[in-house]
Amino acid sequence: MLANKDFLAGLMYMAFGLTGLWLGRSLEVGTAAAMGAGYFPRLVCGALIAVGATLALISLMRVGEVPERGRCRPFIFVTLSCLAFALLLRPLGLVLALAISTVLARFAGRDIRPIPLLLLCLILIVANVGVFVIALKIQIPLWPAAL
Amino acid sequence: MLDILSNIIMGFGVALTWENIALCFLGCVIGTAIGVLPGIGPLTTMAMILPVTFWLSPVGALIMLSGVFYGAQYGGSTTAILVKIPGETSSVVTVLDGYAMAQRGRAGPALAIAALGSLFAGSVVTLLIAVGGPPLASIALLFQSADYVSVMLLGLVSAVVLAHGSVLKAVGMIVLGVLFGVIGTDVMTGEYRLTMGLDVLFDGIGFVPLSMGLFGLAEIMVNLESADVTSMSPKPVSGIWPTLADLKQSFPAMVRGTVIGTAFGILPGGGPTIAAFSAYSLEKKASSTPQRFGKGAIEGVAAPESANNAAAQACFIPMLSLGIPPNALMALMIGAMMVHGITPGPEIITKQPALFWGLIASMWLGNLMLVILNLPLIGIWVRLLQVPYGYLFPTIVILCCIGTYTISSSTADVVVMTVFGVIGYGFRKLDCEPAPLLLGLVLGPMLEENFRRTMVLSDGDWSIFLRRPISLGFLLLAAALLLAVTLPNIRRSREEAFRE
Repeated sequence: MLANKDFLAGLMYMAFGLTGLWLGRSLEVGTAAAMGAGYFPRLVCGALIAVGATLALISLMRVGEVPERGRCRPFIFVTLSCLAFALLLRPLGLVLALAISTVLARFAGRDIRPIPLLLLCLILIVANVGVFVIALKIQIPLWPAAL
Repeated sequence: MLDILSNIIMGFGVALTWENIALCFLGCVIGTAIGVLPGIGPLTTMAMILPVTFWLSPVGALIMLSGVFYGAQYGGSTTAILVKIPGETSSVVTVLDGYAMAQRGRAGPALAIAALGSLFAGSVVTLLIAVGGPPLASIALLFQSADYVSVMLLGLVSAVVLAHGSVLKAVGMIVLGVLFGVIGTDVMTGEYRLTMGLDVLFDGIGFVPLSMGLFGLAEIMVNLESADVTSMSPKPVSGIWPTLADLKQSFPAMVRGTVIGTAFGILPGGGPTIAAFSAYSLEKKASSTPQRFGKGAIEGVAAPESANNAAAQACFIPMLSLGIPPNALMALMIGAMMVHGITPGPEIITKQPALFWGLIASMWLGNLMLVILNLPLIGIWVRLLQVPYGYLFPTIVILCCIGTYTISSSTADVVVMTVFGVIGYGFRKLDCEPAPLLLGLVLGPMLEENFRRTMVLSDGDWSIFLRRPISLGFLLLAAALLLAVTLPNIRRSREEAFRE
């Protein structure tokens, strides 16, 4: 019963609000006429906690929907793909980072065949190097720093 | 009148340079393409090409971004009519009668009416912005900080009223967006707030990493969970031209659609989707033969298609004249302007006339281009539908990564984007619509700044919001809206409007 969407959403809002209050605990509040850096954030966090609590309480009074359980594979691989790009770009350079991220991203889906995947990697590398490095002249290392 | 004429001529002078024509065309092509492709919306696309526009002139950047936006409305209707898949949420209702017409072999006229309706709406609204924008901006110059606070509150309230689903959840998303907006350096005291000591957050949460994560990545994760998105091959389209009877039937619907679309576009929190839904249900109610709707009534295509395009352009009115975004897409446009060093607000029209009028002229030009792009070249767009999702989604992931990186050459921003992808996935699982959050994120800092300034001026006296007539008016309007949404019978009809 506690696993329904509205109840969880209410808890999530409250969690964000409480985290905000905690992170901003040392900010000065001040007065309405001379607000400190902490006045507005506290106001917003308070509102968020109030909204979350109301939402959670109301959800207890009726039958809600349970969040759908999906395959966790897309979630994991899309996340991994982006993290890989962020962490590998500097040490490995754009070309290798793109190749690894593309392969990881593709694994989020089904029906993976090697030849089309290779083709996709090549297209993305050529297109991105062409647009961002050659045309827009953005400073990105192309190859591993060790080379 | 003469003033407007000379301004419009100046606008065309800006819009008709080779560079800007090319950018407008490029924007329209990209917009149509993503409109056709399901699973990728204008918000994600605009966020993705935002970094590229940093290398353009400010006018060029805005021309291209707006082209993507209204181009997507056109493209979305093409797939709605041909294969029963609305490319954009704003063309969901077009499926009802558009696809029915296509099945009876009248896909061509349906597409033509959709395009002509959009062109008509686009032209009317462009004229309206040209005529109405400057006076509105001169009224806005009278606004003081208290009035700005109230008009922004009104905007947030109506965003809640018009959002899909639960009102409380939408309120929560907006407040959460405002909270995310607080993160970073406090403008007035220079203190770091809620940054957790992370360097990447000292300048606040970036608009682009946040929207790419929430909209781009999260959408892919959810799309891939459900059954495979398969490609399809629609029947070839023969005979584009509508008959005279078609035109006669659909013209009044176009006019009504344009009026509704304009109203919902200007309204804060409104936008193309709700405009299209409302136009369709009004058309059905106004018709003497409502039983024809859903079985291929041409008015059922004309009205929502005019309305969504009218709304797509009318939301530029509050954005350009007040500097206040009425929805998430315009929030993104404001973000783009700020990157180019333009402060959105009523001064734009007087201080940057070339930008304002150039953008308006390009909108009209873009609408014309879209008709040309859409009607004779329909076959090319249809073929785009056959691109397998297996190629598309890794491309989007990569573009999100590299696009976010290029903004400030920061891999930490890519991590921020990934975090918002994860958060966005959670939002979708809990049925929390992320668009209001984006509005909160952009309006939040403006709201705080004006709020603090007001309170300093009034020496901490809250009644200043009620003592200024402009502010009082906005607050009353906001209260009336809130009251209306809690009344049982209005609430019921609101739910019906979204279900249809």
